[in-house]
Amino acid sequence: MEIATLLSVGLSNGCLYGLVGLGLVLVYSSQGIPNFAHGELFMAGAFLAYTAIVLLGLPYFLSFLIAVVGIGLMGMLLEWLAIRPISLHRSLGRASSEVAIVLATVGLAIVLKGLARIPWGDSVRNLPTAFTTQTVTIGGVAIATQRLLIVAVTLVLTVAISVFFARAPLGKKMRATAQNPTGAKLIGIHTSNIYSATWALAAACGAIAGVLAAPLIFLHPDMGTRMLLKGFAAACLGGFGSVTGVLLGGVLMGVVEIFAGRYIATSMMDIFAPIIIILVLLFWPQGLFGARRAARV
Amino acid sequence: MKTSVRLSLVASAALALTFAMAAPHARADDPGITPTSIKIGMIGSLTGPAAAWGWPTINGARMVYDAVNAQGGINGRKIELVVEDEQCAPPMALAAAKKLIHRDKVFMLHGGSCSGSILATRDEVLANEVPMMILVATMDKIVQEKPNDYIYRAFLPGSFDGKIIADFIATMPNVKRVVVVGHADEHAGARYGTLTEGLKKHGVELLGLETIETELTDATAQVLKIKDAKPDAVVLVGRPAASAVFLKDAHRLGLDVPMIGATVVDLQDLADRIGGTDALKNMYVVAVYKGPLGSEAMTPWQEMLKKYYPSDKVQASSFLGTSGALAVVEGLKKAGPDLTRAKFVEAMNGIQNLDGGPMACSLSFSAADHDGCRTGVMWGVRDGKIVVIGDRWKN
Repeated sequence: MEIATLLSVGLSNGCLYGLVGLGLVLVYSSQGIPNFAHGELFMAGAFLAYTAIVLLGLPYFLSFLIAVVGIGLMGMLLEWLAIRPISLHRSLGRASSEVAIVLATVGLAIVLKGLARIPWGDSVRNLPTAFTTQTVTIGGVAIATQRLLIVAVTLVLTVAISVFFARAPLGKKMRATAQNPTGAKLIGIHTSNIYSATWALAAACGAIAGVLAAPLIFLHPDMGTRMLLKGFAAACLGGFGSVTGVLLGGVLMGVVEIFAGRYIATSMMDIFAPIIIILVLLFWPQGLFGARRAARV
Repeated sequence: MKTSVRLSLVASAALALTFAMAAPHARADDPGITPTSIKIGMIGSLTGPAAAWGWPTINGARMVYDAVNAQGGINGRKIELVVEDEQCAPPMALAAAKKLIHRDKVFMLHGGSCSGSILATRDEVLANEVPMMILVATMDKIVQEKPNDYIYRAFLPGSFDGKIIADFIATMPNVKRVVVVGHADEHAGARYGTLTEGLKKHGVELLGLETIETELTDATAQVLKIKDAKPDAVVLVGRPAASAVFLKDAHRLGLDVPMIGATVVDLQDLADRIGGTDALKNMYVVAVYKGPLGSEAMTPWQEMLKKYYPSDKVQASSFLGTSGALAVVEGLKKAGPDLTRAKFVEAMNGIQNLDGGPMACSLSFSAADHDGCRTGVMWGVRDGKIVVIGDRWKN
């Protein structure tokens, strides 16, 4: 019974880590940079849903959709306003351009957090759960309905994104751009638009995670910082180049984290993510599920 | 002639020395005072992990100063405030204190939402002989460590919190084994000493301390470990968000023993965060106010907050800094029109049984004891409503 309880919580926490990690992986695969503002997109999604549900009184699932689409557009806008001008700056070499973009994402994180404080201040707010029934009992284990929703949405999203990349023309263009931007340009793909679309998709993933997580962790302008670290750990563990890998990495991390907390020490739980990042980067830099890249020299 | 001049000089010097001896450290040119203003520097956690207490506690104190200014000020001087953010981080708190003391040249300080960070300002404040009223930081040694001629507090210190909880547990029937759940920070640490001592004194076994993070998102592991230990009660020394997560998970996982919370949390706030009082049926919290929000005793203060800060949410933390501002105003009034820091300190040390405003305690300070508030009582939930239980358990 206890194992089942721990598994249910570890699995849902892991799905959240995986969803946050997924947004990081999408941008990294496309542009080769970690997006340090992704935690703030997670936060912005949660606050947009809060506005729709609590302040405007809209139904939960409509608000969910508004938050995901809204933050997706915001991701696109951020790419257009802050990232694209740097990547197109001809005086910067490739390496300098990447460093400048990474720094720009750090700046974006600070700006978005600061902007969130203007209307929301520093009060901690509650986002209602999707269902009025808080828990259901399955096989004698009380599971929060919100956690079931998290697992279900993550599964659906994983399948949807995998199908999108395998079948959809835009998904194929994204893969082509990620694999070889110059080649993609040569065959007529407008890579700048592809980068915008990637940022939109990544931001939407962050928003989904934010809306799903908010009822469990409360809303606050700083709520994305900790989750970003967890997402990074999930992406490192699963591999920065793999969609299913990052989700599996997140789930593995969530489950191991809660079991370590229960059977070793609860104080271990929060230091687990940085430990994973260090160990994986040292011994499996490609991640557990990522493909080893060969470089021609 | 020469002798008489010399005698006059000696007499003048002696007279000056006598005055100087009579008023030690008195300076006619103390900073932050003009004929029309008194500059006070406020420090709070406006951002960072304790930001939830930042503006609410600052504004709860500011409204008192605003009300005083609206009535013409104190002895013709209006209170001018400069607010700095300490982000609940010691280096930031020290930087804020230095800026206020040396650059803004304030008359006194009123601040401190985080014990650990405001402790870092202590030496700077004492070295510069700047009077300071602690806002809501509860660590004992900020005020109680000697020497301390300048730092005051009008809020229940952490050690008293621990003692009140231990004494209350001793009156609860069939409670002999207790687990403590809390953070590993100075704020919680201020309570553990007297709590442990008190439990031991009353013959209550402390089964262990379970750590929770301030940004806790799930407490399943902690709750299951506590259930294994089979305690008769749980003491919760957690910040509001983490406590809400813990209580939610405890309720979901069937940990239904009595829980006793420190002043760090408030029952109404917990009910708002959790979404009802179901998970709080067996919860008791040390409260510092005269009554729950909305009660007759709290109404004037709630109205004052609405008047001066209409966009602020009226919440439990809103009035934690109010008693400190009331004590500062009383000290400034008693110090008289020829205000100096020395006169203010002397006036503060003479305050006895001042009404703590929204606080349940009355405020008394002396030269030897700058902790002015020492009273807190337990509140609990009965039939879905928050009620005052008192200092002993009752059904």
